Amino acid sequence: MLLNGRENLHSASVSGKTLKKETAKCLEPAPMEKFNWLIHLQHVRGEIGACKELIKEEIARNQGKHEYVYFKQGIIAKEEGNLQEALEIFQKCLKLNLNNHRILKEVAKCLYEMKRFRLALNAFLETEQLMKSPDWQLCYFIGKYQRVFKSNTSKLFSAETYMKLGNLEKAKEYANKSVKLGKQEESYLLLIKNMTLEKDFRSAIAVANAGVESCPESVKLLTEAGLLFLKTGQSQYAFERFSQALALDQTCSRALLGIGCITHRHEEYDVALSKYKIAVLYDPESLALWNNIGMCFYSKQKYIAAISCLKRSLWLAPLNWKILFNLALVHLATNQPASGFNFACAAVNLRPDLGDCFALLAYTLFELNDLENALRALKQAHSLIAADAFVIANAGLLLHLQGRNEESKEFLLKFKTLSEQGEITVTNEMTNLVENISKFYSDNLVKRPDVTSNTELAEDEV
Amino acid sequence: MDPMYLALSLFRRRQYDKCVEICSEILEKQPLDQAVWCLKMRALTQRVYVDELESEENEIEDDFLDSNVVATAPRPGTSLKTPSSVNTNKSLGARPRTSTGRPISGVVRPSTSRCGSGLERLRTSRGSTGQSARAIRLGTAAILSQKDGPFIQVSRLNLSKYAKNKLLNKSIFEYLLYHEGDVRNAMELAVLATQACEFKDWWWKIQLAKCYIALNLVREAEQQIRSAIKQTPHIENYIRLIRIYIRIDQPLTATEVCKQALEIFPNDVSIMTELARLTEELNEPQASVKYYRNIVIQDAMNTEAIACIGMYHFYNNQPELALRYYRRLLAMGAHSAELYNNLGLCCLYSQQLDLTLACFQRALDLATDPLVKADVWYNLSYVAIAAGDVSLAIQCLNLCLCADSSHAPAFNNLAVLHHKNGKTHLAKAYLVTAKGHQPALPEPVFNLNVLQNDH
Repeated sequence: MLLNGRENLHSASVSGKTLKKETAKCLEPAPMEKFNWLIHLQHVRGEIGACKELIKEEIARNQGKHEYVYFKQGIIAKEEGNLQEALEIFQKCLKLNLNNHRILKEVAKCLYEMKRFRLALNAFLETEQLMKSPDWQLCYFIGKYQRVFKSNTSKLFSAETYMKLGNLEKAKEYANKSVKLGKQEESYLLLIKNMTLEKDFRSAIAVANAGVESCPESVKLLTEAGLLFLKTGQSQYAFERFSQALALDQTCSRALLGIGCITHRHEEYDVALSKYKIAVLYDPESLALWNNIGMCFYSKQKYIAAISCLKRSLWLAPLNWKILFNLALVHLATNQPASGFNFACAAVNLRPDLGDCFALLAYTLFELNDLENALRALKQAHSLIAADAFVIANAGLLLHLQGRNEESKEFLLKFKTLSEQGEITVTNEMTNLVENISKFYSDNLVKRPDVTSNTELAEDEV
Repeated sequence: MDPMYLALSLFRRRQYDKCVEICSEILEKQPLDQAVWCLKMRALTQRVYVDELESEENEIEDDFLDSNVVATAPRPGTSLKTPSSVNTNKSLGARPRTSTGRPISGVVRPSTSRCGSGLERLRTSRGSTGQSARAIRLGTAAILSQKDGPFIQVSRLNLSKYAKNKLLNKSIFEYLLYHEGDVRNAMELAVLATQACEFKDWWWKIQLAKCYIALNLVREAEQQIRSAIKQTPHIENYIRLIRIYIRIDQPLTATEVCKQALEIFPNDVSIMTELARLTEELNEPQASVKYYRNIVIQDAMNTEAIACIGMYHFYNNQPELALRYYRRLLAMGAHSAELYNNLGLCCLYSQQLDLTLACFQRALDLATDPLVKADVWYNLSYVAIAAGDVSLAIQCLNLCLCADSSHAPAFNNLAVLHHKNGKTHLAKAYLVTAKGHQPALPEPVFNLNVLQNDH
C-alpha cells in the first residue's frame, strides 16, 4: 500500500519532467517495484488469476529478487489455503530481507495455522524483537495506530500459542499486553478464557465488562459476560447481557439458553420453554438445551416428555452424569424406582466424588425397600457433603424406620444445631418431618411420619 | 430304467452331478445324441448358476476407470457416489453413516458393500470380491470338474449354425456365459441368434445386455434393455434397467424407472424394494420407510422391509417400536448375530435391562464373522457406558479392536473414554488412528479439533 503511494508520486513527478529527461529515462533501468500498485489492486479486487500471472511475470523479470511480489504471492497462497506453499514463499521472501517483521509475522502465522505451535511461537518472539530493534524504527512512518494494531495482533497470536502449549501464565501476560495495546474483541475473549481456566471469575467479569464497553456490539463478548455473571450468581446482570446479545443476534443459542435458564430458575417454565424451543431450532445437538427442556417438562409434571427429552440429551452425551441424575429423578417421580436406580447407579459410577448422586441413589433404594443399602448410600453422601440438610434429615428418618433410634436422634440433633446456626437452608417440609420424628420420640407414639421430602428438587442447568 | 429318463428326473431333483455322470455315460455310447448333450449342458450350467440380480456387486474398477459416469462433480442429491454433504455436521448424533457418507442401512444387501467404493476399499486394505473375480473363479471351477478335457471345445463350436437352432441356442448361450465364463463367445452367439430371430425375441436382448454389462458397455446394455421392455414389459427387465442406472450413478433416473414400472405392475414387491433402497441411499428416510411399509402390506414376511422399518424407528428415538419389528423378525425364524445385537440395543434404549445382556450374549455366541463380533463388542461398550462403568467399556472396546483392528468408531470412543480418564496423549493417538482408518468419519476430526483448542 505504502510503496504504491510512493510509486504514484514518483510517476507523477516523472510525467512532469518527461520532456526534459526523456533520454535519461530511457537509460534508467525499469524500477523493480513498477507494478506493485497493480498487483495490490488486483489482489484487493479479487482478480486472483490475473494477479498471479502478473506476479509470475514480475518474478521472471526481476530474477527472483523482488520482495514485495513474493510477499503478495505468499499471501494469495495462504488465502487459497496452500499453507505449505505459502510458508515456502514467505521463507524465500525472508531470505531477501531478513529484517522485515511483516514477513516474519506471516511466516509465524503460517506455522500457527499448520499447528506447529512451538516454531510459530519462536517466530512470533523473533518478530517482537525485530519490532523493538532500531531497524524497525526506519519503518516508523507506518503510523502509530498501525504499529499498535500490528504488534497487538502478534501479541494475540503469541498469547494463543502459549495457550495451546499449555503455558497459562505466559498466555495471560501476553493477552494482557494485547488488551492494553489495542482494544480488540479477540484479545478480550482470550483473556476471559484464560481467567476462567484459572477459575478467577471476578477478574474475568471485570475484563468482560471492560470488553463490552469498548466493543458494545460483540455478541460473543456479551454472551460470555452473561455466562460469567450467571456462574457467579448475579442473574440480574446476566439477564441484561443476554438481552443485549439477543437484540444484536436473535439466533444466538447460547444467549437464549442463558435467558431460558434464568427464567427457569424463577419458575416461569412456559417462558423458559419458549426460549429453549427457539434455541433448539438453531442448535439441535446441544445437550444442555435438551436437558433443560426435559427439566422444564419435569417441573410442569409432564413426565413422559421430560423423559424423552432427557433421553435425547443422554443419546448425545452418554457420559454426562447430570443427565443421568435428572433421568433418575424423573423416573423416581413417575414411580419407576428400578429404572431410577439404574440411572442413579450410572451417575454414581461416573462421579463417585459427588454426594448428591449418592443421596439420589439412597432415595431410589429407599423406594425399592432396601433400607440397609439406602442407609449406606446416604452415609456415603453425608461423608461427601456434610452440611446438606436433606441428607441429614433423611438419614435420621431412615435410621428411625430401621429402629436404630439412638443414631437417628444423633442425626436429628445435628440437623437442629446446623439449622440453628444457619449453616443450612431449611424448608418447612423438612422441619415438619424432623418435628414429626422428634415428636415420635417424645410421645412414644407409633406413628409413621410422612415421607415426602425424598425427591429433592435439583435441577442442573448447565 | 431308461438312463435318459433317470437323468431327466435327476435334473429335476437338482442332483446335477449325478445327472451329468449319467449323461456322460450315454454320450459315450451315442456321441451325437443332441437331447442328452443339451441336458448335460443345462445340468452343468445349473450347477454353477448364480442369480446376478441378487448377487450383483460393484466391480472394483468402477470409480476410477469408469468412462460411463455422466458428471464428475454432480449436484448434491443426484449421485450415490459422492459423500452426501447434507448437514453432516448437524447429524453427529443421528443415524450413523458408512465410510462413503451414505446412511447406514437396515440389512446387508449384495449391493451394499461393507466398505464403500473401490478406492475406499483399497485404502482400508480390506479384501474385496468384485464381479470379475467371481467370473474367473467360476471359470476355473468349471475346468477343474472336467477331468478328461472340456465338455465342449468352445473354439470349435460353429456358432452361426447353432444360433439358428431355437432348441439349442439358449442352453448353449447359458452354458457359455455361466459355465465357461466366456463372455465374448456368448455375446457372439447372442448377436447371431437375435439376427436369426429378426430381433423379435426380448430374451436375447436381455442376454445381450448381460454380456454388455460384463464387458462394461453400460450404455449399449441400456439400449438393449429399453427395447426389450418395449417388446415385453417384465419385472426382471425393469429391475435390470434400474440397476444399470444405479451403476452409472443416476439415481434420479433410476427412481423414475421405478415409478414407471410401478404403474405397469402396481404394488410389485421387488420393484418397490428397489425404490425403497434407492430413496434410502438418497438420504430420504421418511420416503423410504413409506415404501417399505407398502411392501410389508403386500408381503408381511419381507425381512428386508421389516428390518429397515425397525432401524428407522430405532434412529428416530423410538426404540420400543423398533423392538416390536425386530421381535417380529425373530418370530419369523431369523436367527442371526446381527438380529440379536439389534434386539439388545433396542432393549438397552427402551430400558429393558434384564433382556439386554441376554440378547448380546446370544449375539456373541452366534457371531462367527470377526467384523460382526467386533460390532457386537462395540455395542456392548455402550451397555457398559449406560451403566456408567468406564473401565468395562474400555475393555469391551479393546475386545472389539481384537476382532477388527480397523474399527474406526471404536478407536474414537476409546479416545473419548481415555480422555475422560485424563490420558490426553493416549486419546490423541487413538483419534489419529481412527482418522487414519476412516477419514470420512466426522467424530475423530471433530474431537481432534476440540482437543487442540482445549488443551
